[in-house]
Amino acid sequence: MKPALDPAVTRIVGRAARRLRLDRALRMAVRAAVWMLIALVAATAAGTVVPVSAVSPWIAVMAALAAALVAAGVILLTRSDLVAAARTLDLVLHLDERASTAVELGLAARAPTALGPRVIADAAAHLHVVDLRQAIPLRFPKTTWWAPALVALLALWPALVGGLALPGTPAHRAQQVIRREGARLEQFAKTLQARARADRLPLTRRRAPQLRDLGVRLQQERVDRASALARITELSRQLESARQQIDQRLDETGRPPSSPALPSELLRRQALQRQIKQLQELTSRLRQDTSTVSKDVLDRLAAITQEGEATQPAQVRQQLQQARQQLDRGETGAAGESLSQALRMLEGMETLMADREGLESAREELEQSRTAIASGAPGPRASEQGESPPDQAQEPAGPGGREIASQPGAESAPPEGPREGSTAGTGRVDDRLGPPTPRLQAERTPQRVHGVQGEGEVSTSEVIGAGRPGTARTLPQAVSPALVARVDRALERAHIPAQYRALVRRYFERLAQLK
Amino acid sequence: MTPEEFGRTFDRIRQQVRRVIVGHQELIDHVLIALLAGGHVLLEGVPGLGKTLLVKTLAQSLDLGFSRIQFTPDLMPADIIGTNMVMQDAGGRRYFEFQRGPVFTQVLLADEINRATPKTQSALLEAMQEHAVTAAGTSYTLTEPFFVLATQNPIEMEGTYPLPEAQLDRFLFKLRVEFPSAQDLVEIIDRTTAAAVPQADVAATSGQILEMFRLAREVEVASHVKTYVARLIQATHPDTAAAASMAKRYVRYGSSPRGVQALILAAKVRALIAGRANVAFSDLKVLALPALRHRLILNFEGEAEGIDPDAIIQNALEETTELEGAKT
Repeated sequence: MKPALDPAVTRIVGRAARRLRLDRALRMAVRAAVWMLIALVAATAAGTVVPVSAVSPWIAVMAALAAALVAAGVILLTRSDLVAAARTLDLVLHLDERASTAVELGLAARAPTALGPRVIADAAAHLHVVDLRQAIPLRFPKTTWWAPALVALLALWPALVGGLALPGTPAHRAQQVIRREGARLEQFAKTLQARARADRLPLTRRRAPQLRDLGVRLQQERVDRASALARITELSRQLESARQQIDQRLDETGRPPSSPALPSELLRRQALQRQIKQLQELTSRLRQDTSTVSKDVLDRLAAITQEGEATQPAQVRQQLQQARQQLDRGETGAAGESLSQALRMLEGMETLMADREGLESAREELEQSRTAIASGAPGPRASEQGESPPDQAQEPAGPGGREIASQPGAESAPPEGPREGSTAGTGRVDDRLGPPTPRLQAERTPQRVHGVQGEGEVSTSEVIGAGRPGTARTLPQAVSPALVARVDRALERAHIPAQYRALVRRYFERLAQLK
Repeated sequence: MTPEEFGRTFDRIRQQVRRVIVGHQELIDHVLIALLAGGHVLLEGVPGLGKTLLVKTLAQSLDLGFSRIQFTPDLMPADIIGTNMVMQDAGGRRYFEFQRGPVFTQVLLADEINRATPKTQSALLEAMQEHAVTAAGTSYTLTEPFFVLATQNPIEMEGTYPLPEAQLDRFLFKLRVEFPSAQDLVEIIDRTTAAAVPQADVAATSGQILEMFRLAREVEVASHVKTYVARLIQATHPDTAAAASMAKRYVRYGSSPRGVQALILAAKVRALIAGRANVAFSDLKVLALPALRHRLILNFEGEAEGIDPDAIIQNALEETTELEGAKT
């Protein structure tokens, strides 16, 4: 007969099991959160090797919370094990295995011994006085402090280590691309700024310093790929906003709808410039000769009006029509005034379009940089620069001249072999030419003489080379006694050591004998 | 018999033994535990520490038959078991009659057991295991309870025959008799050199001993406690996955399954003495040394370095977790 488990034992052990489950859920939740944070810190640290962005502390906190909730949920959904709880109670309360033996006896199918009921009663008596809160306290594990520490580490990471890349790693290469693109953007921004200043493009002039500043920052700061892309996107958004402002103003000035005859803004602007030039000519002619109106002027005005139907706004056309009517009536002065007004409107429109084009070109440059940084490979122009450092970057073409890829030969692959002439080449010099020939160990004067041979100044320089032993090629010749006397005097004056003086004298005496 | 009566009887016996034996409290407890578990005890100690007196006192307090055999090199098996002798009846007819040897008792003191030859030592094997002896094809059952308490001197090893493993394994406990403390020596002087020498009174009958023996077998053992004992025994075997680090290095053969039986039986008795009806880990840890130390066979390295088997068992206890899978 199976002895019935005492209800008190069942109740207390059941409560202990639930409390143990809670405690385990708490510990597992903390452990899961800490491991999640460790993984995120490791992923962030991997940014020094591979170009991955640092994990935001907020994302880390949310991920850690999610991991903790999942871990706790899994533990809480499992069934309570009474035997395991009883064993834990035995260990914690030093019950000498009374509780676990009693629970096993109550749950087991085997026939107990005569002392079985006594074991259960003994366990009930010992468990009756147990304070479970004291026996199984719900406490956060000791590793809990790791979680805030790791979050703090993630928060401080960008300031401490952010953008740092180990040399030779993909992250370092990505950083080089970022710097190269920064240099390119800076150079482009300089050109854009100059042009905006010259052409008086207000919005472009206002945005160009921002672009330049971005380029400088991309070169100078330790910027990782994500933050570089974020900065580029933000500036691109600002440029887009400015462009929309211009569009709005162009619409307000009565910009005609896009014409299939003029597919691009560039062609439209060129047509506008042509009309402005023609109108300027007409206006100046009218100012010079206000007495008579020739048929030629009327014809040209008609031609300008007809040509500008697709590009001119309604107000301009209206002014031109008015000028024609005034010319027909012989009111030359009023016609000139109408033409000047139309001219001002067209010039204002042209300025807006130039401003828009400048912003658009800046935005396209940013887009190219964004693509280059995102792909980790340098952009089309950057690839031309090869591995040259940012300070040696070539000057960009500037707005309106950026279609380098469309230049003849730009799309074709570089020829195999080393760089030859102006062609890049794909091979190395050593591959073709073999080992370098031995060179004279001499100093070279970096001096180049310009001009025609035989004219101008004669420049000489001393080449200092290694000395080589050999025989004198000048034969001994007879010398006059006057020369010998001079030599004697020279010997007297010269600082010749005493032990060599006789030797020198003998030499010259032999010369005298040869005479 | 109830557990309470068990505890009271045990206390009475212990009290009577302590009237005569000074100190050695743990030794007395362990000897009593072994007797109540139905096992035999090997007492190891230098001469003069009271081993023989302890056994005689036990026999007195338990009201059991007592025999003492002084083992010597010329002792023969027949001297222990007995022999068939030619007898003559009133009619002058001769017949063989079995003359019982000293083994036919309840408490047998095998003094200096390692001085007898292996042949004589093995004469005790059947008596210890089967509680019976066989002579001339006839088996004779010994009176229950039957306990063998053997002694051996660990120092004077010259001219001795170390007990074979098979016989060692049949002892439930191997107990070491330590030298008494100064305080105990003073007490020994007082008790043994006075006019009146204390004597132990009868504290329990053989019937009570048998009842206690039966009650001890009723004590419950939880499954994880049994698993712990099994893992502990495996930890003494160098070739098992659960082998303890010292066992791997110094042990040739670990404890036999008799070690598990001995440990659990002794732990059951200790649980009853502690007022429990279930075995606890603490019972096993206290009794692991006496129950297992004579069951380990050291390898050459262990013998050469003079490794004490107690250290190996202690190491196994430290490396074996109470709950499987838990950390130490």
